[in-house]
Amino acid sequence: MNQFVGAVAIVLSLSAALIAIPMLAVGIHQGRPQLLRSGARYAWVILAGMIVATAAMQRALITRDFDVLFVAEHGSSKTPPLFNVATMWSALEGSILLWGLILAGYLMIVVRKFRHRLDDPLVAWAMIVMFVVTAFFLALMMGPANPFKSFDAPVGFDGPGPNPLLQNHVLVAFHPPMLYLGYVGFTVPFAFATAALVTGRLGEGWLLETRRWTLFAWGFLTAGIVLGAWWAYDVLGWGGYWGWDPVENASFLPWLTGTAYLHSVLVQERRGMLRVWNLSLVCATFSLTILGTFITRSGVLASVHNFSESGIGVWLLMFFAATVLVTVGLIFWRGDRLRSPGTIDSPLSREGAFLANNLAFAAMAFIILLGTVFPLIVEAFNGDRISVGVPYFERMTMPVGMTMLFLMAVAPVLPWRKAGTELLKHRLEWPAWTGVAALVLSVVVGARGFAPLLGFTMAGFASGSALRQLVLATRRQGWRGLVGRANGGMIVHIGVIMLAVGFVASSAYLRQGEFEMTPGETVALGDTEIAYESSRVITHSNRIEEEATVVVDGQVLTPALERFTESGQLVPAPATRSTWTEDIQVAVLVSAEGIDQTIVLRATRQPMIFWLWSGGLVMLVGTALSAFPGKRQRKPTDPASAPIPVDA
Amino acid sequence: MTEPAPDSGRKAMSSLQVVAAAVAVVVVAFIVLLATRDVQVNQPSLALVGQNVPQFSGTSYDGKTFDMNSVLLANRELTQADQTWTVINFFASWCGPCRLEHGDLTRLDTEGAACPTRLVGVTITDSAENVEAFFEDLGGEWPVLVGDTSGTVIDFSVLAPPETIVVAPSGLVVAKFIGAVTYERLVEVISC
Amino acid sequence: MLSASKSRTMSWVLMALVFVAALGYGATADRGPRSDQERAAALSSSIACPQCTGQPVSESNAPIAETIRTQIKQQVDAGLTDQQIVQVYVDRYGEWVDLNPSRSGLTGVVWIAPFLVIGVAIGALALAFSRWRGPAETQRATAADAALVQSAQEDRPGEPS
Repeated sequence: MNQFVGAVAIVLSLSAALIAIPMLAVGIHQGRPQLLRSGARYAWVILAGMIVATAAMQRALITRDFDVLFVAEHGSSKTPPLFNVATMWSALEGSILLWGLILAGYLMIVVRKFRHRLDDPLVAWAMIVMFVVTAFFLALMMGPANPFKSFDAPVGFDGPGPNPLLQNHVLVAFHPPMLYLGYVGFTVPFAFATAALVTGRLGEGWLLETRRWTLFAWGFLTAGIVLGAWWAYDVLGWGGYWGWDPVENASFLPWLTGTAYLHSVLVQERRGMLRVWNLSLVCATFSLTILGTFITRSGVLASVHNFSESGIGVWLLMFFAATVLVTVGLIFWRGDRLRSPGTIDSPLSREGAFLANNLAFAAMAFIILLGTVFPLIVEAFNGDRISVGVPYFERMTMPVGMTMLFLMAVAPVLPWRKAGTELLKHRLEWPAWTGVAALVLSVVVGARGFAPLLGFTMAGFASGSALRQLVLATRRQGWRGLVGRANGGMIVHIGVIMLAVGFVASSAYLRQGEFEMTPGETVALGDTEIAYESSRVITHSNRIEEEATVVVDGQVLTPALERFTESGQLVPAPATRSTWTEDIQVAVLVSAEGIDQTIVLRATRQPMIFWLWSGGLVMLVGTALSAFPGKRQRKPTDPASAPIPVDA
Repeated sequence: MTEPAPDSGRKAMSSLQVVAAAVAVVVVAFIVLLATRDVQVNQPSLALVGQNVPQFSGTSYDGKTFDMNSVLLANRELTQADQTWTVINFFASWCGPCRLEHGDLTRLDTEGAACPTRLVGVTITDSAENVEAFFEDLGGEWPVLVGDTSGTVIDFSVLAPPETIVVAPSGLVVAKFIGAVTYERLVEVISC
Repeated sequence: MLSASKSRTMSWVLMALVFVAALGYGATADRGPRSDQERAAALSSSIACPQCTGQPVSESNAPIAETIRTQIKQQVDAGLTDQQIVQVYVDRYGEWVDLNPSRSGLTGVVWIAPFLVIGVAIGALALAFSRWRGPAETQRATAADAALVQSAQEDRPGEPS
């Protein structure tokens, strides 16, 4: 029953999309606004279909309806209830269904928001693009990624449940949906960018309309990535949170181009420049989300995230190809319209800083993309199998990261058009002292090493600059000095700086040890005392937990080793003692055995891990504040470029 | 109002188009690259073939011990006809292809090959109980080393079960089979 | 009394001195050769676990990863160089277990390409800047242009949608 309802709902949604696209196309071609309005309304049908399909899938999972093949393969009567809901996105078909649901939701919001402008050809073209993307994912759901295939369940059948790593932490319910809200959100600015290219209407209008969309999508993507890192930290057992894994890198690429866009769009707004570049960034961001999905699902690059390899890779690759080639083709065709009259007067200006910022983000994206796919290139050329791993990425992204921190410090104080050195010396004085103070403080507390110390200096410098902007703004405008694009942006910068500090400190000063301990024994990791007290076994519905009680610097922790009964897989469940200055994580490597109940414990000490998660939170707060409408509205007659001298 | 000179306008358009065309070429090359890749798996290593067999020893699930060096030393005392070949089978009870090849290995153990052959198994991430159950189920009576075998696994460049190494009486590794083996392929490489 | 500008310059000079001193001290103090523990940790992050999907042995709970970590510690204690230790595993399994790509041959391209591309990008930007400067400096408005702008600003019909 569930499977019938679900399958019908998907067919309904796909039909609606396939009807709407030609309807809108004809409406534009023949100039019939009524067609445009009714075509757009099909978005409601698509959303209704996706909601019904999702509800059917959730019902099947919760009631353990093994007549649905997806539930038979990934569900289980032993999986705890919360994880049953999340099982939907623990494998390919359900993930594509989730993508479709979110896309339908965004589609509906766009239709609602633009309901008074549906007869505008630009909006209609944007709707067509969104319907085409939706139709693609719906078509996937009808073919290679069908979530509602049926299964002939024998009596007493019980499924294996999702991958054990996907059912032992609550973040499984948040990380994928957040990530998808981000990825899918970028479809909207992409649709409007494409529409602008097609209609040739490349003025500022569409840009301002979709700015908030891009900001929200970016915010969700940031949340998704940070939650992913936090989840990894909490469950893996060696204190790692970012492994430069191909799938992690693939999720980072659209974030980088999205961030570059959020900055360079300000130059377009103020000076009317960089239009081609901004269009390219928007389209690249969307294309990279498709590429990322391809890398995750095709298995072309081995990764821990390869929990679903299937024939879907070829379709995603073709869609990626279509997206990029259509975009490049449109830019090629419309190139004549894109010339902007403005110029950049001086590299030492806000515009210059944003250009440098974009260069830095593009460089980082290039390095990460190159490193990720390079093994494939080498293999294609001479058949050799090589690896490009953590040492490469750390060494190459470090200087770019430093540059970004430096730019974060200098750019907010730069005026538009041109800056003089006296002005810079004046405005950067306090931020620079903050940087030096951060350096001295780091040296005093014992941090050593050129790279980390330089990183802390830059971080202090950048935070001084951001704080300076916020102080000036709040002095001028009171609480309004904390909202709006510029001020919210400064808060986001502070969040990024906190995250960067956490990253540098935890990578540079990590200390780890493995200890074989008997009950009552105490060991030391540096200055930290770890005492092992006892062990016990707890039986759950789907796993057996071998828990150890450990006291770390006075705090009682209970790390465990979980043995999942169905698959026999052993999954660590580490415990962490977290403070603002350092985290100490203990993980059971070998659980208590023998009469003397010896365990093998791995202890990891990393400074300032908490700054990573709190920095991420500050970034999200800043993003929300940034979306607040600013008091200052730009007038159409505000100068877009530097004034040229007038002959009297 | 000044207008951009028509010449510079046309030149600028074509430079944009040149860049766009170059991007399209790079992207197409990139997509062709991705489309022609297979699913990436770790590449098994045949580095050992033609080398001397690494020394290893251990205890079998039934309590017997095995030591490679002892076998080689014993071979030195024997005539050529009596020297034994060693077939080392890396396996695990949870591995599907291992079940498939087990019949062929049993046949090798009972029927033998052209020369005297002894079979020894090495488990990968498995327990003595599972191995015992496996052998009770499917038969076979050769020593299977259990316990901490990781060092041996590394020395033999083994990635995943099953992998089978054929060692001549002198200690030279003559063949390494990745995946399930058949009786025919094993006896093919054993020659006196 | 020093002028504001002069005292600011002195502030910057002082800042630069403190910066160089602190960074110099922090970068070089107790900076002996890397401890054995640090070397073992770094090596564990650069050798892939053969049975995993690309993770270094420092990031895997597989028994084989555990064994390799132990072996690395023993080899560091025994005095082998980093190069020699990595070579042990490359000999056994192949180039792909070394997560640090080689600097020579086709693989070396991965180290050079980013610098080349960034260099080209900076060059293109510099070219664009010089082109922007050029025409802008030769453009001048006339009094008629200024009057046109003035009258447009005066009779603005209201905020466009």
